[in-house]
Amino acid sequence: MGTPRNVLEFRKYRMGFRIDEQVCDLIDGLSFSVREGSVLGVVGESGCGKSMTALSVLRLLPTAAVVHGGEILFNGENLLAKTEKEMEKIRGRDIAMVFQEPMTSLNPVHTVGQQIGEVLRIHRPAMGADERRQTTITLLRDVGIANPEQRCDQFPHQLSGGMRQRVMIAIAVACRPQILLADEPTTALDGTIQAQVLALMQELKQQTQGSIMLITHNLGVVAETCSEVVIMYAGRIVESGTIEDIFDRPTHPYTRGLLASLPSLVSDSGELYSIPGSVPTVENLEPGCRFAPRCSQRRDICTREVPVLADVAAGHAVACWVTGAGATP
Amino acid sequence: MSALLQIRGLKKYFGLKKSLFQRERGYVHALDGIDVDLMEGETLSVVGESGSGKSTLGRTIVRLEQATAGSISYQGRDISTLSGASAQEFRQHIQMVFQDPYASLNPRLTVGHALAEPMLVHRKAANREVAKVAVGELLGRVGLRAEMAASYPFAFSGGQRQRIGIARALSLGPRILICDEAVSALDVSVQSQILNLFNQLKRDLGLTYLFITHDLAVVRYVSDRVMVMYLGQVVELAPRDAFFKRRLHPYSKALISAAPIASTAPREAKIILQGEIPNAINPPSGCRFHTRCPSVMKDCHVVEPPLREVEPGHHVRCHLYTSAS
Repeated sequence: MGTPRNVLEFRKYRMGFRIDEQVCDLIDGLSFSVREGSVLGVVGESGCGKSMTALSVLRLLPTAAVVHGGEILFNGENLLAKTEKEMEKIRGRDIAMVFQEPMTSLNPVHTVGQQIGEVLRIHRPAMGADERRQTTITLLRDVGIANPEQRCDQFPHQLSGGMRQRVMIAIAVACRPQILLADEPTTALDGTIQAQVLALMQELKQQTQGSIMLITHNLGVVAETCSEVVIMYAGRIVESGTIEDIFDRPTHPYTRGLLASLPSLVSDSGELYSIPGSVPTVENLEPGCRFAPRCSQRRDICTREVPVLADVAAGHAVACWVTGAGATP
Repeated sequence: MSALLQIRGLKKYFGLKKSLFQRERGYVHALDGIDVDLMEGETLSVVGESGSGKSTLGRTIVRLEQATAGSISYQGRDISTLSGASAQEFRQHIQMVFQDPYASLNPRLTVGHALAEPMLVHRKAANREVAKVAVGELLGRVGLRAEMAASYPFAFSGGQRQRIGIARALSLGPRILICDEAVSALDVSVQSQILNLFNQLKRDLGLTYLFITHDLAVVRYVSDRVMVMYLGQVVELAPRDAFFKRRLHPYSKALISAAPIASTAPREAKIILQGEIPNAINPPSGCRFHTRCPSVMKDCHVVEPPLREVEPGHHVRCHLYTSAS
């Protein structure tokens, strides 16, 4: 068997929000998978549903969210059919998450040692207090924190932003999860600290052989850390493929527009391309292709019918009437 | 080109909270001796990480903060000590665009009202009727429609709000715009629209920009000159092309190396700095960067390097270049 198995697989997953008595669809027929040992990037702008995608896996959606259908398979088992008790066993042990803002996601009144220890206490009940403390200190050392014995007894406010994010990662990897969901893990960090944290995540992945689903809006971070990418726009995948597919052969007009609107660090750019208009809100989604109102290559069919995500080459899929697989020139 | 703004020995210390019967316990050295000229018509980018003092620099120039020491001269006149009517008169000339377009607009004022207010206060418009016409023109200039003046901020997207923030900054006809992370909160597809707008306004109105950002790709796109700050000091100041071709300071090199690039082309190995940005309450002795510097030498721990001009227009604060030439 040459191809690694799928750890996580979305199948026609749909969810939306209840807004003023009405249900507005956001995520519409999401299908993609994270293969064992790979790093998948989920890219999109604000409001495209990328964070909701991650929260859906852990079943931690806000109360206004409504799941309409589809499946999220973890090792072949549908997470949406699990009971809350079963989910509690999975969260933190098999699937763990790193959030964007380490200050708001750590508890300010507990030491970092207690917060890392909590995961072990819940998922490794056989472990004694002394062993738990030793494991916590080892974890802190693994994520690159100097003086872990002292740091263990400190509170989050005594740590810098970069160190807090390292603590978040230590909590997430405490039970060696099979998949790590990282939602904008470096967005709140400074450039030189971001580089440290990204290098750390790569290193831990190598050690544990786990998979990562990295959610970000930063195409640079994706190009440097992921092996495969899913580009989302307003709740749908518009393009997916390997890093080379997306950055060397971008096909969907949205992907091309995004890449063209980035100023370059390595060469001088002329006037930047910009995609006209702005990202639609969940109440104002169009029928047909949701990108159509901003698309320069729009045709009549685009505003009427939804394009299907189909392969244009092996592993490289595009959902577009004009540039996609079934396009008529 | 003449210097529109001359900053000399500018310092800003924030006192830490003191308890009763206690003298001040210490200071955050936000700005520690900044010397720079802002030339007429240029875009000077200020780059740095959190705690570098880049935002404090912008806020001190527009007098949102009072300088602790040093001077800021606008067209030869010291503005750091102005008060009352003369301070208000000066404010027309330098305006600021803030990072968060959601937080910087009053939700209870219509856009038209928010834009007309500064013009009425500064008597740029005699009455509301005149101001209304001017607001329509301003909105057109930033790519919005005149009838949008009647709407409240909540009705606009992030990009549109940032356009309104820019229109408000332009309402008094400033010569200098200070943009503090003005595109950082925007989505990629909207960010390029706003960057292009800044460039267009510069061509149309002959504006001078102080562009504060942490995004080096943005710096490369908008700047004429680049200034890198670290812990309240300038560590490198250079023309844009010279900076991106041959930056000199080890910190500048690490910053550029750490910036992720959206491309599959192979890159040189990243310089990953060890450690954290030190605390600005007790900045390190000698060179402030020595605690993280990959090329640290013996002298760096004790002797603070001066900011020296090593090539025409290219200044660097580092001992590696002190002995040369």
